Amino acid sequence: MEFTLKTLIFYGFALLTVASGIVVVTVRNIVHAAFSLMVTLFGVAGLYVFLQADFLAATQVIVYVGGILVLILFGVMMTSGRLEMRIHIERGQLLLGAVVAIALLMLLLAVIANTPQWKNVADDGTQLQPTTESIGTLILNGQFLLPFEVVSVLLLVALIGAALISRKEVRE
Amino acid sequence: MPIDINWQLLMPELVIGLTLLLVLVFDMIDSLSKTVLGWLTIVGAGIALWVSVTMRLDSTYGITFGGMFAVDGFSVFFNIIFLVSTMLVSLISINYLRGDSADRRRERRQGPYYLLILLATLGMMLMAAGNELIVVFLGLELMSLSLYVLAGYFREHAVSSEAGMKYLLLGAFASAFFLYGIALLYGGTGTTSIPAIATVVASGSPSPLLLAGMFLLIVGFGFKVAIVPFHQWAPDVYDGAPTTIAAFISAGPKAAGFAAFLRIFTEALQHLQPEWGGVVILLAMLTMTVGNVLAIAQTNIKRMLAYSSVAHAGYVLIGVAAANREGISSAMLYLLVYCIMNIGAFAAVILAKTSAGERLTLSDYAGLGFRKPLLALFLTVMLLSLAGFPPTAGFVGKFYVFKSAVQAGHIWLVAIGAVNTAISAFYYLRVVVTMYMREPAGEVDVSPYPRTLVVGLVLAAIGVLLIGILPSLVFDAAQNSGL
Repeated sequence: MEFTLKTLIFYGFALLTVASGIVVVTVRNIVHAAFSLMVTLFGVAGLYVFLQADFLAATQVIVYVGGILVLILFGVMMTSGRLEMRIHIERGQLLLGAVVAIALLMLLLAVIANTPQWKNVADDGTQLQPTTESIGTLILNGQFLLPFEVVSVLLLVALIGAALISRKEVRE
Repeated sequence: MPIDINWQLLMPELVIGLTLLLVLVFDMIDSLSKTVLGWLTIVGAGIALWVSVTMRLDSTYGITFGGMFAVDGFSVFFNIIFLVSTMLVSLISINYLRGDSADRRRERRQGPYYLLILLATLGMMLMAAGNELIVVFLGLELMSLSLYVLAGYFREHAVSSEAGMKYLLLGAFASAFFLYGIALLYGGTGTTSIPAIATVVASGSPSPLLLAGMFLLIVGFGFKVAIVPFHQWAPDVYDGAPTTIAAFISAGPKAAGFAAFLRIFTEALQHLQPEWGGVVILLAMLTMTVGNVLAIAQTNIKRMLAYSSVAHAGYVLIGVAAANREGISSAMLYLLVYCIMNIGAFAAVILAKTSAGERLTLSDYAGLGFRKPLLALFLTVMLLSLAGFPPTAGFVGKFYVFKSAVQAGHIWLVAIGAVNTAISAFYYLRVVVTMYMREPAGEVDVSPYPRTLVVGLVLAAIGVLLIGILPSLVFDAAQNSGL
């Protein structure tokens, strides 16, 4: 594999994603964690671009970086005045978590090492094709109509559930 | 190019969809008694059940929605299980929700309760009929999201909220595993369609991606159907959730999880059976043994039933491990039987309540056999069926599951299953003995029985005895419905 500018940018995004991800779970200040999450989500959007998934990358930026993150910050602002979170984790649980995490990492590393041929999507010389139109056609008029409809019902459940859990009781 | 949609195949799902919209609209009419919504749910599920049975009899099968939605004997049989469970649970909910006191706030919230039950049912039906991993996943999420909210439905009680929260966190964790598994399967085969995956898997040696994806799918399913070692959420959620919802979670969703598991593993990953068969056998042994041994230690009846339902998932896994035609149909039959008897047992627990609240500890049941003889009799029938005594449905279920395992050559698995049945008989019979042989500690107050609960319990008992005496009634149906 030759070392090109493209590889450099890819590793830049990968590093950005992982490093900010570590910051999210280790930092105490919840607002700092939220902003770090923004960097993580942005890094993931960059990785989508490398996979030639332009629609997904744009959606990632609009929905996650632009929408979800603002919601998280609003949530922090409205629920508690405290920014410092001290989450106590017992040593036994920490150990168990570490064992599971390392086992999963080993599994994925084994998969990466043993898969015979990895196709590099970005480097096979084909021109970047925009995906938005074909995704739209598949969802609204083609094979993926059913999942699209089910997602709309799923959102209905989320709405009703959130309302049921959080709304104030009407006093008689 | 627009795709063809055969609406006739979607009839049961459409009926449920229409019913839930009606519930949503009627809930807004303030002068209408909320009990109507319960009856509407029952009627809607009943019509869908009738449609499903007709489809089963006429063999109205096919694949529609661009190959995404498969209506076959398998999915229709599971639809029948889900709809029977939904009807029974709605029936026992009507009186339970109203409560003794005229709590207006609780009365108001009944609309969303039935709505979420219907939405969960729709999710289960999609899981059983999903011919595409994306549809199965969306069905799973639709079901799970509804259940998280239902588990925390009594939000004025801390235990109920805690149950909802715990279920949400662990369920989301499990969904992530499941989705990651789907992603790796897609990476390994280049498709998410179940028949297409089967073709790819059959054509060559499995790639590591495929195996890792399969492993992650097992973990995801393991959480959803509460297989040991992924069962820790079950007792807490069953204990904290409203008892009717505990009955619901233990019945339909478990069957739906197994439906999707069976379709994915015995159809898409059929040729990897040497790889996953051993894991399933191991999980079956662990699940039965841990579930039953931990159930012995419980003094709270809801927690005992929770561990017992974990153990029953283990018995179903015996049939899955056999992975032949017999095995699949015996697992399906077992799930049907299990749903009916488990909902019946929970209904009896609700009926046994006193004016002070539900009878939850074992000692509360002392002397119930004399004070409420009929109720004690029905509870005994349910417990005997759960333990697997003839002539109840539980015996029939276990018999066919064990038989299929013997045919597949898993003699040791059957031996462990038999030992576990003996262990389980101990804690089920302990409740019966407590009811009939022990004197009550104090005065047992005899409150009148709520009518719909009684109807639900009697129907469950009739089902259990009917299947127990005439097993061919449903076994033939199950046998002709295998994948």
